[in-house]
Amino acid sequence: MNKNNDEERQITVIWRRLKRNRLAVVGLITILLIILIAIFGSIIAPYDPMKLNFRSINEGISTSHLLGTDQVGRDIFSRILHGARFTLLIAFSAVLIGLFIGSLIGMIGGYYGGKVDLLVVFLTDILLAFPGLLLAIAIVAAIGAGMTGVILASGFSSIPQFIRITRGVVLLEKEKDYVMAAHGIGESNVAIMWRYILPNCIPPIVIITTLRMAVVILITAGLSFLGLGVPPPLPEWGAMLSDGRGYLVTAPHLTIFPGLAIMILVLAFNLFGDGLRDALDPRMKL
Amino acid sequence: MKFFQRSKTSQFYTILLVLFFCLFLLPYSALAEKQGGILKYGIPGNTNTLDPPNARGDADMRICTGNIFESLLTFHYDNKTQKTTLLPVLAKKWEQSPDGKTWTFYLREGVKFHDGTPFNAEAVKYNIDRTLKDKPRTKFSEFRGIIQRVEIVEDYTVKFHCSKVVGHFLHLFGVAVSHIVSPASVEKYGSKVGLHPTGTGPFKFVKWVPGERVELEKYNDYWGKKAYLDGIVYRFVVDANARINMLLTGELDVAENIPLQDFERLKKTGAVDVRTVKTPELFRLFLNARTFPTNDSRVRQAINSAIDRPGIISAIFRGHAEIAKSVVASSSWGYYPASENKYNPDKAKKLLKEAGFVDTNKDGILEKDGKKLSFTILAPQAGHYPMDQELLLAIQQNLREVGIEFTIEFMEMAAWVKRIFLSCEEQDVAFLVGLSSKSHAYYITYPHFHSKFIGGMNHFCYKNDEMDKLLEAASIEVNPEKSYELYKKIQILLAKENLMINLWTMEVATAFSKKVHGLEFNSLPIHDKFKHRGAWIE
Amino acid sequence: MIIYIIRRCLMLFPILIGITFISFFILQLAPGDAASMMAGLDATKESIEAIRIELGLDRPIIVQYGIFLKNVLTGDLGQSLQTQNDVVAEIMPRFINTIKLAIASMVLGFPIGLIMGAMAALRQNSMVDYVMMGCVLFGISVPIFWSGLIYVVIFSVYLGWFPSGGAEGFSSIVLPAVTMAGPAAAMTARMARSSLLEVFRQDYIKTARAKGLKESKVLRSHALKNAMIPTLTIIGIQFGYLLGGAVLVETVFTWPGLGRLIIESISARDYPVVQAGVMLFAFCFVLVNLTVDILYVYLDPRITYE
Repeated sequence: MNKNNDEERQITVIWRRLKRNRLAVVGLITILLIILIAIFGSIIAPYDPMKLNFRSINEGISTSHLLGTDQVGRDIFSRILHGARFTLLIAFSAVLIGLFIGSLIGMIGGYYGGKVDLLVVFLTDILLAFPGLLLAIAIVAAIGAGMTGVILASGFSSIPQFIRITRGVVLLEKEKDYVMAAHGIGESNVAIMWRYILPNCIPPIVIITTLRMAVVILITAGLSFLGLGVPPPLPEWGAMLSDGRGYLVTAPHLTIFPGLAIMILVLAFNLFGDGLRDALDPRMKL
Repeated sequence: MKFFQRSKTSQFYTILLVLFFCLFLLPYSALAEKQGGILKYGIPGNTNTLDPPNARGDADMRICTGNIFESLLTFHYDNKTQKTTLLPVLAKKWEQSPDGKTWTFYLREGVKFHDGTPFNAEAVKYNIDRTLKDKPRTKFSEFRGIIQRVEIVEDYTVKFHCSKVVGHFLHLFGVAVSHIVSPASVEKYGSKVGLHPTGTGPFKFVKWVPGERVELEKYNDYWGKKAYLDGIVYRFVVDANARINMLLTGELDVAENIPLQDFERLKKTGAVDVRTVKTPELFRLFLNARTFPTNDSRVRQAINSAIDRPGIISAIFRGHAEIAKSVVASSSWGYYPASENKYNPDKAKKLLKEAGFVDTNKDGILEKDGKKLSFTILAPQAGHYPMDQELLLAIQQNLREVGIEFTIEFMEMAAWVKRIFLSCEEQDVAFLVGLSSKSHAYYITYPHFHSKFIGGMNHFCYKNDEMDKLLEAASIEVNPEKSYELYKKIQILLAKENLMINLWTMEVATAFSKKVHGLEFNSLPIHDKFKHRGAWIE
Repeated sequence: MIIYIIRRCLMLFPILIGITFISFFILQLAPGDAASMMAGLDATKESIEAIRIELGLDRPIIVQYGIFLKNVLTGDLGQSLQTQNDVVAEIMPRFINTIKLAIASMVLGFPIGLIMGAMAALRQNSMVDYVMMGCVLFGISVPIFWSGLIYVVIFSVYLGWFPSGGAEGFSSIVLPAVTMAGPAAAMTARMARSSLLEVFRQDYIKTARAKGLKESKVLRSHALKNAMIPTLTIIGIQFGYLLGGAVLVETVFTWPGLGRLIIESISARDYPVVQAGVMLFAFCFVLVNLTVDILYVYLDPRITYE
């Protein structure tokens, strides 16, 4: 009973702290806005994002095309709206992969300790040794470019951070009294992990998830830029940037708008994630 | 009468006459080739080796052939007469034995390699033998399976004994493999000879900074007309934008492979000129003859007729492409426009109807026996072929209008190569491929359509006895007229089959500073286009 | 502490071996191989097979890995499948170029980041703080290849101040370094600010202030030194970020670095180059982090590691 009240009060405290951070609120609102766009984008978009029109290529901003047209005459505004869906979907799937696999591994390693933990730390260190993008590139080469490849690659590169954070929390919690008590009563390891330790992992995991979204969006865009990402003609923002590269001087709006879109989304996740981190525990070193 | 004693009038007229002639000659003197200067040439890509028999990519070939190395002969495609002629280079003349299996080449005398060693029959034998050896194996050898042995008749006479009659034998000497390397250099450097290229060409090798540039300098003992330039620096600049920028800032004098969209703004600067050259490389669609839906030749024909070639060429390529009318490119020897490849969507619809395709569920896509008329086209990494994304999207739209649907799949290059070489049973339905017919119709017909290559380069599982017979006859036919007739029949037959849908030629654009003159823009052979022996800078 | 250092160094070896393992196998998973890539579309099956045998690609994978491992231990990283040159000779100059770029970026970014972070921390919650942190957030949110492209358009194409590519001369490193320095400075500023703030909260600072010491002296003698420690750890993370980001910047600016070489080699399935390159990056990163960790422990006696 008491515990529930404690939790409730905790959440309201956190929420209040968060609200005070104006930037974080802006971030949250932006994210929600973009999610809405991702859901309703196909309805809002004035044109079919895949429709070619060779009579109006590389046109700048105009009344008929809010953000202009690209090199095959497609409406950029519509493509960006549709692209929101891809970008968010890919990023979310990737982070979820990292979350589930990473947290599981981290929890097991931290909880069971000993040789298992050594193995976990060993694996994490190895994965961390590869610069993020390079690992993603190698994975994409191995699996093949395309949505699956990109999601898996970005997902894999997110695993180490989740392992680390979960393991850290588990190491802290498992020495605490109530866990010892649960042991004493005879609760199974799995039950202990599930009921006591996991809830404590949630706050840092949420923070890492939010911040990681920002990173993954950039990795995906980077992969698309290198030609290893989502295949054309899908309107993923990084791919749009890559396409527009040949027209940098003749039609800069091809690269400016997708770039801005990426930046805004990444910024929003960073703002919100930072706000979360400050609200949860201003002193937490994450 | 002395000049000064003539009347004033005749003096005046004489001076006037002299002045007139001077004025006449003035423009010519201004345009006289100037000696000296180093040409800074920007190319995309990177060299891997400067050893001709192992040269692979574009970059390798550009630098090697025509500049550092030479072959026994070369060919030249004249854009105006549209004829290909063979020109002697290191060989003065050649003859074929009556039975067709032995060729005698009379070599040029007085030619020296860059390291001072003499060029002679021994050098030729050394080089050809090198490509025939099993170890160390050169990457490519057009001569394997054709030349059995090389015989030195005299110091400057060489005989090639072939295992069979080969109709396109002389064309084997235009490719990189046949370029002559100094035997002394191979002996000295062994497998590292790619780092020390030594040939007979008008430019000799100075330095190679991997990933950055190759430097060449004028070879003063060249046997032919010596180059005007003091040297050439080839800079590897992968990014097209960077190449253009460097051209505009003067860091480069010439920039290769300029994207279409930049032509206008380059020309507007007034300091730069852009020239395009058609290549024997054609954009093609490969269709599988065994799998649904392309197993029905009417479907293949329908696809062919549904593609709006002129529309795409004008909209996407801004007119810088030529409709392909045959499997063979128009600049290759043996070309015959076998099919007009006219845009005819109505004919396409009719053919599909004949083949039994109906749109039962009114979704715009035809079906037959419950199967949708839909397939996937595999293409290599986006950007590998110029405008590939755009043209595939346009074709997709074209085909949708007649009820055919396809999805585009871009793959990583290595994965894509692997898929093309799968056996025809496992293979996918369609590929976008850019393939060259090189200098002779043989290259694009025999290896791809003879049934004995099924599982290899015959990606279509195509077996046709009549075709096999024609191909074999053409490959051994020595008489040019008879050979042409045979290749004509082959192209007509292939046009009916539509296994390869031939779209249009690829053109390559070069932008250069107006101060540069004498660059050659030949269609054929493509790597010889980069001969700079005649280039000079104001 | 010595024990800690020794333990970390010992852990290094299995990690390095694990790195070679991943470097080797990850590319082998990819479809297609170097032989078919080199032979191209015009090749017969026999010639592809012959090239494959010549390159030693026909032997079983485990054997290849064994040979690879043995060679690595003797310092022989093999020959590039494409150029037949020694991999070491191919990689070294490119690696040095990437390091040049990384160092230039850090030299540019780190001090700027420190100053920004310090200014923001000193005037916390003021306009200065917000502006600084605003810049920081932008710095980490901007896609690095996008900012690079924009710099090219502005400073190279329109203004013509700097070359847009290549590595000739000093001016060619400016734009790439500035591009990479942006996120580096941002990360540093953020870390510097938060660790300075953390230090300010500490009792001994409050004591120093209460004692009446001048603000600047407080900053210099106490705060800065202690804040430096966590900021140092950011160098390790930054270095990894720079190595990864180098790939993108090298592509935009056609900088002849190792990142670009690795990508091109992945495309060509030039396994030896990819393996060696990836390993080199990973080794560097691990070493840098190890050094930073050891320094961390050395500098801050309060930190104990189990």
